[in-house]
Amino acid sequence: MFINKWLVTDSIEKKRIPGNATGLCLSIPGEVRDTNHLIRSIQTDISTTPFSILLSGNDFKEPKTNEALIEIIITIFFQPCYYMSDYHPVIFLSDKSATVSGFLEQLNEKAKKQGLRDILILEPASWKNTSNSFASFSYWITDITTDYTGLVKKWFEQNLRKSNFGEIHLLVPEKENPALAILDDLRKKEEAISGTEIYVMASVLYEKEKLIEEYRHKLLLKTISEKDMQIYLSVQKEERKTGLNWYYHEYEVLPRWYKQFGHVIKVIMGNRSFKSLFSDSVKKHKD
Amino acid sequence: MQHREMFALLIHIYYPDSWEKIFREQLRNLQSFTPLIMINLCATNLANTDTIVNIKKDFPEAYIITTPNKGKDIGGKLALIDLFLKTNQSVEYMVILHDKVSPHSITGDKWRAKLFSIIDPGKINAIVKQFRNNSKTGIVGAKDFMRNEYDEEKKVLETSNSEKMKELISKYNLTVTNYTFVVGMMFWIRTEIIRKFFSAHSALACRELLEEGDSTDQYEGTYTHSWERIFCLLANDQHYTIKGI
Repeated sequence: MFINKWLVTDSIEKKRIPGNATGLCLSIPGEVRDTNHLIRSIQTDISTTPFSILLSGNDFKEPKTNEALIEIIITIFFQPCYYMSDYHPVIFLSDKSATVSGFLEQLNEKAKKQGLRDILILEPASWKNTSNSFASFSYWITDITTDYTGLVKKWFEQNLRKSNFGEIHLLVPEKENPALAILDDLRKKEEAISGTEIYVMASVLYEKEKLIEEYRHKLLLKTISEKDMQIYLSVQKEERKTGLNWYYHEYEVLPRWYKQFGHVIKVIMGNRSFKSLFSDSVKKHKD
Repeated sequence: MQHREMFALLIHIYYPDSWEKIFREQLRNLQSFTPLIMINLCATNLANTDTIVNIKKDFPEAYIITTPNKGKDIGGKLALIDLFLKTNQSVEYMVILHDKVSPHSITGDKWRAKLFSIIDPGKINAIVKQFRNNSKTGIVGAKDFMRNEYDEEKKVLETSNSEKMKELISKYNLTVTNYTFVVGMMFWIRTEIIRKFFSAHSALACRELLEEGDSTDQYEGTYTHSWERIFCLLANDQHYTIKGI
């Protein structure tokens, strides 16, 4: 969907996902104390819920290589419900700092070495800071004053003339007292404008772009599959060549009289019909 | 013999229809053994969402991950080992499997049937007994697929992967006295062998070296195919033996 509503939480254990939320955004501190618990919770408690992670620059004070956290995040990326935008893993970032930026660069390099695409880093802006509004279409929503119509209109205007644009992400911190009320308010506002021309056009534009991305991805997979087929064919050709080579050296090099005598032996042993020694149209052997 | 969660099945699935055609029935036949099930689905499969729903229907407690196509089945298995260790599983044995279709070979189905003999319910008890009665048994695999590429006379490894294998043996400080391995990378292995090695060398770090997409060692060695051999050498390095059934 082109508008994603994320409930930002620091725990997913036995989490009841509100029906109004697209998914969970898990706030990961600079150090994960219980990896076992975290991964098991993802597998058992939110196995079908889209989820993403949020990192904060405030949790990355010292510029050091955090291999353990990098590996944990990559393991999280391998969870089937991890949110990908055009097959790029998404990470939300708050309080950007040089240290966390350095960490994210290392994470991105390691993720690419695992075969993943570049990580998409989104920095939610405060909804109230109108000078930054509509920049990356990721916002913190902490009250019920969201101008939904204005948001959709701006997204549509900015994206009408370009391709490969992102979705709108609304992040609602669970710790905010009226988090559920905020999500409910967002749902109602979206319902209220869902029949309007601007919303319908924005949805159609988004769906069209998604379809194009899907086709591009399928084309890429087909190209890879074609390359694999060529590899298989070359292996088969090589195996056939080896087989024929062996056959030549084991059998073809023998004198004619020896091979003819061999066929007589086959008839005596019952492995060839007698009549086939004199006629090519007779069946040589049993299936 | 009761084997409640005594062994884990680590299964890499690449082809879209492998769950239905190959694994679903096999795993149903093993339900009485209540194995821990961990499955990796290759992320290139567009039908993964449906496959996950189907897996969870029969095996709701199965762990499932999806990974990019890197290192073929070896890469998938390394990611599963990473998941296994990160979730602190306590089973004694691992059974490493994948959907060996081998589309380039006319004998692919036959290979798979023979390799899968290690999860024949009629053989499980004998396999576990082999481990229990012989503390030096580290790996059990299909007998027909045991191979040793080391030429004792020439003192060389007769494989296109020899250079890369030497590089990995040196990198991981392995002491190898026997180069026997199970062709096809499907076998039972004691979890402690995996735990000991991958606690020192992260499975994800090992996975970084592997080739992306499909690869063949027909003309030139690959890290992926070298790892097919290295897995079994881990057992030898830790003074275990490999048995064929």
